[in-house]
Amino acid sequence: MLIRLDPASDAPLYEQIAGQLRRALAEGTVSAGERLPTARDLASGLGVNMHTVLRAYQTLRDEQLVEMRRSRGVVVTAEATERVQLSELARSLVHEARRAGLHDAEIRTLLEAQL
Amino acid sequence: MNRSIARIVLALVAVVLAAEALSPLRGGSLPQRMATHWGGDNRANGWSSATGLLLLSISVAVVCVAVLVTAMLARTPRVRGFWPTLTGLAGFVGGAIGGSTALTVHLARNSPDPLTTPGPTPLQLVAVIGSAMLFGAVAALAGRTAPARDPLSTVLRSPELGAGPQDVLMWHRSMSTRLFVLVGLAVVAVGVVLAVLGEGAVAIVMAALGGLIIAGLSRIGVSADQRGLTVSYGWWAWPRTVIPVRDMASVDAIDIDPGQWGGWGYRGSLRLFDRAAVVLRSGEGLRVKLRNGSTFAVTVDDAATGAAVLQRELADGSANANTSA
Repeated sequence: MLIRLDPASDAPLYEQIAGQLRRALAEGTVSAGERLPTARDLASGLGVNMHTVLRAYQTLRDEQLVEMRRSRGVVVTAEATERVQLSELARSLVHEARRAGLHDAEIRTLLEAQL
Repeated sequence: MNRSIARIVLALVAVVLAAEALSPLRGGSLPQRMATHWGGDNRANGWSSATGLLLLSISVAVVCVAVLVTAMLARTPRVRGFWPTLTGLAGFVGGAIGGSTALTVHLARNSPDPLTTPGPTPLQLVAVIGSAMLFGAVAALAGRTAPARDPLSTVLRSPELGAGPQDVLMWHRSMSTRLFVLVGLAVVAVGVVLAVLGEGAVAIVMAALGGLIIAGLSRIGVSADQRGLTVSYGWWAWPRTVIPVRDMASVDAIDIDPGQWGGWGYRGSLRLFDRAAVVLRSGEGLRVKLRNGSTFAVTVDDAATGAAVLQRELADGSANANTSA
């Protein structure tokens, strides 16, 4: 996986790291069951604070993309790739809907009609 | 012979030779003095003390195992036929002395008077010489392992990273391989069998070795970033090989053929020799040439991206050096 940080960007560093990891999952350069570098390692490689990386990892854990265990480190969950691809689909759906002039309420109705 | 198989065979030959040469240590006490040489009439005409015999067998074991282990780890190129001849000789001499020591002890133990024991039967002599020749042949065959000095490798094209000049990049890949788990388990199994047969010390060493191989090389993590190249071994990511960017002369993604790098596993050493490689499979890998003339290579997926990241760091480093100078 390749992580690219833009220090000049408005997006917070942790969000950039999380975003790059999501992209790596979607592209398949990180696969299910794989162990990610420790927060300390990633932080020193990127030249950022360890807590920044931990926050990125926690964000991914909340999205159920990784598991964090004291003994095993940060491990990609089995369903991570699928979840990332689904949220990519949702993102492009919302993008297309907005481009077509739909309001948020209308997009929700559209989705609920399919459920 | 495939080099990794050759090395396993060499290791087994070394262990069997050591076990055979140390056979006087097994199975209880030895007679103080025993017949060790016989004339044409099959009557004893030379005697030796138990201590002398033990010293002989221990030194033979040490020398043979040392030669075979050196051949296994050897990375320095030699004249064609050097290693096969050396390992073949070591195997033959080890087999001959180990075998005849074992036979002498066997004769003395099974005789009412160890001083007048009749000599070995022709069949026993043939067995000793035959096994020595077999050891020699196997060791010579397995000894054909000296790796090529400078493998010609295909350099893979590095991709565009699409990174701005201010961007910070880090590339990471991990690889695990079942090959080393299998090799490790096989060694543990041999250890267990030897333990059952009563070869306690050898069994423990082999089982421990197997465990180390499993843990140490079944998984590696490779990172490329502003620190340089980091390769971590094992599930706990330790030990590590770290090559800082300032020590690098050039970085390439290449196609690694294990045959040209001395086989699978951790080959060579950056400290002792000028080449080291971590080869877990054939195919793409990273090759770093160091400023001091050494070369380090590691097989890893998507090596071209890793190489591009390091090439960028290298270019940054030399640009900074130019501005400051």
